[in-house]
Amino acid sequence: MGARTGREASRITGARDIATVFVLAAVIVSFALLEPVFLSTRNWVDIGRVYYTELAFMAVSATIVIIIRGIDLSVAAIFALTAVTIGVLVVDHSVNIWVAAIIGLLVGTAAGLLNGVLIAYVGISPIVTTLGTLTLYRGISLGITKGRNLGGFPTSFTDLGQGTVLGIPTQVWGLAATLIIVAVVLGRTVAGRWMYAMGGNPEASRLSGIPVRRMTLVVYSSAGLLAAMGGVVAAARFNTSRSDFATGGEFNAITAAILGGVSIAGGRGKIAGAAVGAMIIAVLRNGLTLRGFSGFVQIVAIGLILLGAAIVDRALVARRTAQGVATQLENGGEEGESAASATESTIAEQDSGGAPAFTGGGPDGV
Amino acid sequence: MLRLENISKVYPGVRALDDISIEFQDGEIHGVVGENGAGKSTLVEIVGGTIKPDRGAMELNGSVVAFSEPSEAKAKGIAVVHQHFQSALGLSVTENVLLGSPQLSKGLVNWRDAHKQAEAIFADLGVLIDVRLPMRALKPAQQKFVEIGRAIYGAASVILLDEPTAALDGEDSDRLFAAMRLLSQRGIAVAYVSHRLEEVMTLTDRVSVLRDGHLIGTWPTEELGLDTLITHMVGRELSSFFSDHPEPRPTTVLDVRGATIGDRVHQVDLQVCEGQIVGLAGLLGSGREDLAKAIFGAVRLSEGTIFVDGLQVQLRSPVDAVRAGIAYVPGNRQEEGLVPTMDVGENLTLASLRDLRRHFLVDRAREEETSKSFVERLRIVATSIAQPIETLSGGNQQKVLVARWLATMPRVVILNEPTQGIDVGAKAEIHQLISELAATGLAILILSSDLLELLTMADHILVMNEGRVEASLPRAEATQEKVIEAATGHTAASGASPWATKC
Amino acid sequence: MLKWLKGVVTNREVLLALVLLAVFLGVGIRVPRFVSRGSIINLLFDASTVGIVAIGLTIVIIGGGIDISIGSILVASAIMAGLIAQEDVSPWIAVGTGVAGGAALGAVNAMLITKLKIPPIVATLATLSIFRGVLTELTKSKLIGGLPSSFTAIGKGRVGGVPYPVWIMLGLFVVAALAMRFTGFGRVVYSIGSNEAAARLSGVAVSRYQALTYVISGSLAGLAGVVFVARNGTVLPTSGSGLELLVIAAVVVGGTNIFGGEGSIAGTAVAAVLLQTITSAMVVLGISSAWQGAVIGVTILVGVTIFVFGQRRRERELLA
Repeated sequence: MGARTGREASRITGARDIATVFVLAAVIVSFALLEPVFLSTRNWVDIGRVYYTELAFMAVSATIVIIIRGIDLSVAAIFALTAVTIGVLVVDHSVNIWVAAIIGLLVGTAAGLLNGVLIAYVGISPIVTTLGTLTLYRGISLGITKGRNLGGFPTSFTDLGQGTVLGIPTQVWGLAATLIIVAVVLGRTVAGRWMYAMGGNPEASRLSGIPVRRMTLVVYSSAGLLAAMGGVVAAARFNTSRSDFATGGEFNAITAAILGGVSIAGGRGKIAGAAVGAMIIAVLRNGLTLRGFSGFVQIVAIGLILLGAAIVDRALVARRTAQGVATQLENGGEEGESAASATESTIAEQDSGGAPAFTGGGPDGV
Repeated sequence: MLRLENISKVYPGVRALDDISIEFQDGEIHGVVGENGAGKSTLVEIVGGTIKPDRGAMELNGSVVAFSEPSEAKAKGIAVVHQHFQSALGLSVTENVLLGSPQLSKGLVNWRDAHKQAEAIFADLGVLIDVRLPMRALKPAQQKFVEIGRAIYGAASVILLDEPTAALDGEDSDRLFAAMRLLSQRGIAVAYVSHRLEEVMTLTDRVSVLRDGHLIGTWPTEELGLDTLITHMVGRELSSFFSDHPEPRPTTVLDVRGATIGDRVHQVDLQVCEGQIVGLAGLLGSGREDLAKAIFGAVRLSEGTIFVDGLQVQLRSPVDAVRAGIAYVPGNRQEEGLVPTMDVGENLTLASLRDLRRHFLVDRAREEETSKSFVERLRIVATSIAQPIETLSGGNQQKVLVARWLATMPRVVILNEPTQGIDVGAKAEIHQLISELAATGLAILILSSDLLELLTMADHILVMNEGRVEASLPRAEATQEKVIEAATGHTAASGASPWATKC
Repeated sequence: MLKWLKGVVTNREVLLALVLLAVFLGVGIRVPRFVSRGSIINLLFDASTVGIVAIGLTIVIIGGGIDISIGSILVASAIMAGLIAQEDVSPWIAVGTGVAGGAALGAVNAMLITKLKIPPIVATLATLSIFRGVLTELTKSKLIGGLPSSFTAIGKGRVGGVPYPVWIMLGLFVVAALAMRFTGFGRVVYSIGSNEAAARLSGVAVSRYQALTYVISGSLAGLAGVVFVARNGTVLPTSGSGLELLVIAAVVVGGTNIFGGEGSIAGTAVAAVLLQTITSAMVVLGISSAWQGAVIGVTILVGVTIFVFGQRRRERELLA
């Protein structure tokens, strides 16, 4: 699932995907050996319900934004804002739960839209924009709840988060459907192809007639919607909504995406990867909790795996560069070397993900 | 004196430099020439310390040296002026001059002295630059002089200049040459890498010729004639690359009137007929690139109207331009053209995806078919359309870009430096391709710094200078001298204002 | 006159200072004690943690990098300093431990970024978790409390009626501003952020300078951590989370270009004080604390938008 960003390049990306799945398998096997309860159905229902689904929604949200060479630090804030909107509407204004849920999704989408407008039309860089909106949306969430926990939703709604269908938690079905749809859009539609192009080379995309600004709006709005879906699930699962839902969630979401092989520099990555990355984090947290390790050990473990992934990615870049340079010189012996060094620096810059990772905003870099 | 002994640099599968021995003597100006890919860039990188040779040694003033990074070469007194702009735009001129020198790495800098030193350097160069200004306030030619100033500041023994005159007009080039002579008189070894052979002939004491990574030889310049030099460089008789295409038809396809962009382009009129190739010449900063991009909707016109096939078009972005049948093929492939994360096929269909849809999804079968047919038609050399675009040669990458735009079935094709960084063989193929496109009735606008290219290909040449069309030359009247004169603003006062071509 | 006005208004730092002044006066009219000496001192005191850390982050960002692990470095250093201070040694040893600890963690970031070439955002995203987690785990059985007053004086003591942390912050502002403006080091860092390739090719030892910026950032976060634990008497594992966002906000609203090469310590300083002023103003004006976050968020967005529009006027044509 996901786009083939170059079939031969896929061989190298293929290696990365294999590595990701391998890590997941390794983690699962380790815990299975250490903790008998780990492989039980009940535990896996737990993983799906408590640790995985909501993170996965945010990870997908983060992924589509990172692919176009952006970043969205407000994803967790939108998640919480949606949940809180539902709570406030139902508790304070007696709105029908389903109407409230839809409004919640619309609010999340609008929040993403604001991000898109600021980035594409005002020209503020993604990191700065979403930093501001993160603060704003968390602030609004706190403001409208006034610190209360708002809940008490009808069971028809909470079943979404607490029930199962065919033994699998309901929300997992919803997530699966979402994953498939997003993957198809990314991998098979014109819009998806445009997104990969924008991440690979924003200027070339603009000059190829891709409606870059419109696409940016669409992507950030969609990211908002995806985060909002996670928020709906959370409200259903907890049967309450709090303004501090998913605090720090943006970091987990981005980590999940990077673990899954999404390149921070843009233009590369698959939804399946993000889904696996999120699963790695979920399994780690579940397993470590079962073993009695504190939350702090968990974040250290996640941080170390992230570093490992980054180092592997770096090695893959080096290999890709060498191959690229070599074939350049091979083909174009006459013009080879100047093109080769251009290739070298492009690949290096493209994968360094430093400043270039947050282009897509103004040329002035604010 | 800098001596390179048996220097070799090998990349997987290719020898970029093979057993090169050159001596840059104190007090001489030593030219290094060669075609694109002959090894000049690698040589510059080795001398500058950016890369290490695989074999061989360098000797500076008698002692062996080896560099792992540019700062080491600089510390030893070797300064390089690179081909592409290397400036910190936000910093002042003085800071850029001092960049990388030990003065700047000390704690407190005596700025008054620093400004004075910078001013002295520019006085020597004979250029007027306010050293307190930020770099971005300077014109490209002035920025080049600042980089030259930086090298002069840091050059104790050797200064190497790589294509420094690309951004400079005649007067500025003369100033640079005077400065280089001054430096060589002071005993510094000056190396001048350039493909402007006339300059090399007048300026240098000795010339070394590189071809395919080998040193063909080093000769005292006065013993060489231009033809001999070219033959050494190319290794064969240079066949003329004359391209033929039928006469343009008398229908106006592209009509631009009163185009104005800020203070960079003033009231330019331009027309391209069906089947016609119009060349657009001009130095860096002449506004020709802004004009071309404005016709494509990539830069906003402050004033002016654009008509395609008689209908006015509003271009708010390239999206509108594509819809109007206008195409823009960038020569600056890495920055403006290629998506490095995609393969040949994906790069090729990037602008025409909307036409390759079936029920909301991209029709992969048709996409493949389209890509393959273009690969065949344009004779693009690639193992398959799944090959990563990065691994194609420059010429083939350029062809992919042309194919990308042909797939949109345009009426107007703008090509910006279509053969930049491409070797002679591939150049000829691209020229042939452009001729064929003209023959099918497309209106073609070529921007090029290669005068020979424009003179052979274009039916009509417009020369821009400082935002205006300085000269409009039909093929029969166009000569190198006239183009250069107009580009540098030295046209004999004609009185009549330059106009567009008429179909 | 108009031209002078234009010059003033387009100068970011001056503009920010004027806004700060306006907010002060605006609130002061409603609540006169807001502009009293005591109130201003308290405001600066509250701003000191963010202010000190923001100096380091400004330098890192100007050099083209980013460091989101600063909150974790602060906590880790606070823990280290607090544990040493508990042992009743000279407070200077505790301070030294905290700062050195911060520097060491900054060096870890530096190594990951300049040696292993991991993108700064990814590296510091990882160390954000690792630093906080490791330090917290290693020390969890040892509560921090009962710190000697010789140490807590650093956080609570006053000179001339002004608390030490404020003096430290102001002093560092001045030193850092001068260093970045006038020393070779500062100018080189700007050049690296402006055009790394150019700097490298001009002979600048780029990696070394970048590494140094991360060590400086770590040291300052460490110092802030020392001040934090001295002031609060203890430190919780969850302390300082969310700090990085406030610090980045100060840097960005202060006019520093997130991509590097442009910006100033002065701008950061004014912005940090401004953000704190707005927070304090809301308290004083009786605005529910619930809405403070929203107001800050709007401030960030508005502040940054104004800057962008100012710039955009220059580059109007280059769009699509």
